[in-house]
Amino acid sequence: MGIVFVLLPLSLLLALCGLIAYFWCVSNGQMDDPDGDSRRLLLDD
Amino acid sequence: MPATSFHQAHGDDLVSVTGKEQKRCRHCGLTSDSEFCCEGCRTVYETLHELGLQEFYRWRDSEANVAQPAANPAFSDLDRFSILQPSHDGDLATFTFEISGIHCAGCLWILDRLSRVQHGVVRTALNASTGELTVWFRHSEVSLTAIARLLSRLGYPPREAQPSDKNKASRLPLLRIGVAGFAAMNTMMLAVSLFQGLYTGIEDDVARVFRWVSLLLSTPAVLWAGLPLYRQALRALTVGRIHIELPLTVAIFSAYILSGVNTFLDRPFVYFDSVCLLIFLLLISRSVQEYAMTKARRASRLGWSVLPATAHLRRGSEIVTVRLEELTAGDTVVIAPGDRIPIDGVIVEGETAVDRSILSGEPHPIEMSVDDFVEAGSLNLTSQVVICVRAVGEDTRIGKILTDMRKRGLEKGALARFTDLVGRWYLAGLGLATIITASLHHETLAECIESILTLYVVTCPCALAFSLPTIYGLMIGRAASRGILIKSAAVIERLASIRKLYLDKTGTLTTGVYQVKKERWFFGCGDIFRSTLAQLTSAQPRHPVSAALRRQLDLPTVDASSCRVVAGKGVEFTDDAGDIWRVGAPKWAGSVEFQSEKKTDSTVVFARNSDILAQITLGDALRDTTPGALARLKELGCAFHLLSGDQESTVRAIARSLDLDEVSALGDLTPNQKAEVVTQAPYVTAFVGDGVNDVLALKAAHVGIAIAGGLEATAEAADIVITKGSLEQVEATVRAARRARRIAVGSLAISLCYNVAAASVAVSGMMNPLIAAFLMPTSSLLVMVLALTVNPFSGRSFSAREQ
Repeated sequence: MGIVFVLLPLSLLLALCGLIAYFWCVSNGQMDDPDGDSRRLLLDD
Repeated sequence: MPATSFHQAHGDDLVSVTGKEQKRCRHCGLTSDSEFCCEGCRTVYETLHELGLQEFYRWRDSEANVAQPAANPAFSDLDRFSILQPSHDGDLATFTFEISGIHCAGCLWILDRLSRVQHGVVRTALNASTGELTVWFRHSEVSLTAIARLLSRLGYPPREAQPSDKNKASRLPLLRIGVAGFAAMNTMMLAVSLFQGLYTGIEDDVARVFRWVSLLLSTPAVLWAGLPLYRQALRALTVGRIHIELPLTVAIFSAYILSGVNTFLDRPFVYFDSVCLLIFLLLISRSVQEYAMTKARRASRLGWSVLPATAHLRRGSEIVTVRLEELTAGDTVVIAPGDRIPIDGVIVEGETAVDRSILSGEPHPIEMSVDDFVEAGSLNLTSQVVICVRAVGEDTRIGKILTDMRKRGLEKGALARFTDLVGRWYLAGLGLATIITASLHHETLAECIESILTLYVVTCPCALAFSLPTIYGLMIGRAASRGILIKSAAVIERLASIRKLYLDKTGTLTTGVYQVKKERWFFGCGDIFRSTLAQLTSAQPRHPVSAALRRQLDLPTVDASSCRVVAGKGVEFTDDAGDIWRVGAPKWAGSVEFQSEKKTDSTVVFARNSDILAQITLGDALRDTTPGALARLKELGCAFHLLSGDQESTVRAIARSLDLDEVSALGDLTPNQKAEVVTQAPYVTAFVGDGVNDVLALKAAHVGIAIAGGLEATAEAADIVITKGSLEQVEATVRAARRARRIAVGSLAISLCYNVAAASVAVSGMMNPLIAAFLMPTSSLLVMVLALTVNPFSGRSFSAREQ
């Protein structure tokens, strides 16, 4: 059961990395244009 | 090649970057390395030819049908007066426009590649969600005016972007949602283990660690992500009101604090996952509604002013172009034919006909001469006149109307107010239930705390709080995809309650555009007659009669320099053989009198040397969809009044033709009188209109509905803007609003019944904390799913009509 004390911090660290990546995406303006980005998906280049 | 002629007509701003003649796409005409710029254009081109519709290219390239550069006077002076200040960095300037008309990937494609179309443009960045287009351009190679005209010609009329608290404020809600979601998911993961451990066993150390980690994870969600909710609750409390956010705040902090106490005291029951999930769902529901409403409001916001930005001021013998703000009463301005009059004033020189439809709603030209008063916003149709200024800007009649209608505050609908009322009673009931619970379960402090905690968790009014924003927010979004822009959730509730509709006539029931109703050609309509008529109508293409004739007969634009406009009569032309060709008033052109069957219809004749060749009757016609839409609105239990600035006899005739009660048809009304009629109605009313003369009535009604195609000012004043279609969309919106309200009432009923039942069980002590932890998010998710999956616009009635 002691392995939980290793797995728990690791999983939280992983989740935290995900949250930091989300913060970076939002701050970088990647979520500013959901309509445009969804349509640009259809373009070739 | 069609594409070449298309660009010959419009090639002034389309310069090859390399300076060499380049190939152009055969479909869209843009520069291309091959016959087509992309597979999309090739497919459309081939499809049109396969279906025998290649006529499309002839129509598109005909000068009569190609969209003309926007006559918006603001464009012509963008650079001259530096009305719009681009930011400069050497030769590279940048400017942000707000554009409309984006509706597909093709639009994004062309706007992202504007640098290939316009020499001097370095790059562009388009945000399709906000409609903001940022352009980087070399100031020495291209002007802002040219860029604005290009955008307008491509079909994306631009305006100056509103100064934006760019993105920092708009990104904060996303960050809060992220934090709340992160906390909710991770605490739920730990909560599952803790609750499972209650049955199968879990080591005390592990459980303790899980509880402390849950506390740490939920703290930023409670103390930061949920801040907007607490602020709203406190703000309402400071003015002595209780909104639904207050019991939510109480529930969140109660559950968080009591769970924290249990964590410190090493007790098993904690509900951090429920708290974080509640905050997460609340933030999402509010974001959905706010996003939909912001989009609708942005789409209907007033663009450039309806008045020109400049005027031609006469100073002695010279004429100078000045900003409108520089004019004062007593100045004299020169108004050319085709220009919109920028000021209120009196004609001191010349005679002309003006189009006052912007104010009166009626398209008939009015003859004006010396000493006649003209109003800002009217269109000068025929001849140059000189006007002495009486009022400028906000002091003009149209300026006062526009200023008056700008005040609008945030408001709540009846159901939202009911939710607040429930919130107040909820607090009182919760307090009472807490006392009862504590008195029934007070053997130990631990038991007391757990019973109270169970009660708070299971009776959380979260479903009450986010069901309405979600249902209405989604309805606003779905309506927008159909071209119906709804500006607030409260409007939906009011629209569901209306029983009486006040309808403007011109532009709402009718097309609002002069059309040819009857033609009588006495000698046939041969080529020589058509070409002569094309020449005569090209002299005044914007005159309603000319425009109607050109549309009906598909007349091209030709050189009309040899034509002579006779103010108030018509246009004449003398050919090489000495024959005088005229089109206009019957007595002037053909020396005869004709009486139109209806007073609002006009009769013109086309004659050669006073011999009448054709008699043409023009007027405003009913829209094809009007009778059907009115019939369906009647089925919904709506009654109608017609309100119009037109003659009462005409309005009553329209009412008769639509099988409406003539008593309810009122004519000869001024804008103020229209508003007064609407205000005095003793029931919930909606007004449907499309002109500036409808702005006051739109604001006076409980629900103002603007039909687009009219003025932008009505879109600004209205609660709902119909951008596609007309009265049939009004009927669809009323039906959808009623359905949305039924869904909302159902959600509220489910939430209330659940809360009452759950509270009873929790107070009696029969509620297991594990069950409470399961029921709370389940009930919330159930209401959310109901809101997400039911579409107010769905149903047999909508789909059958769309087919």
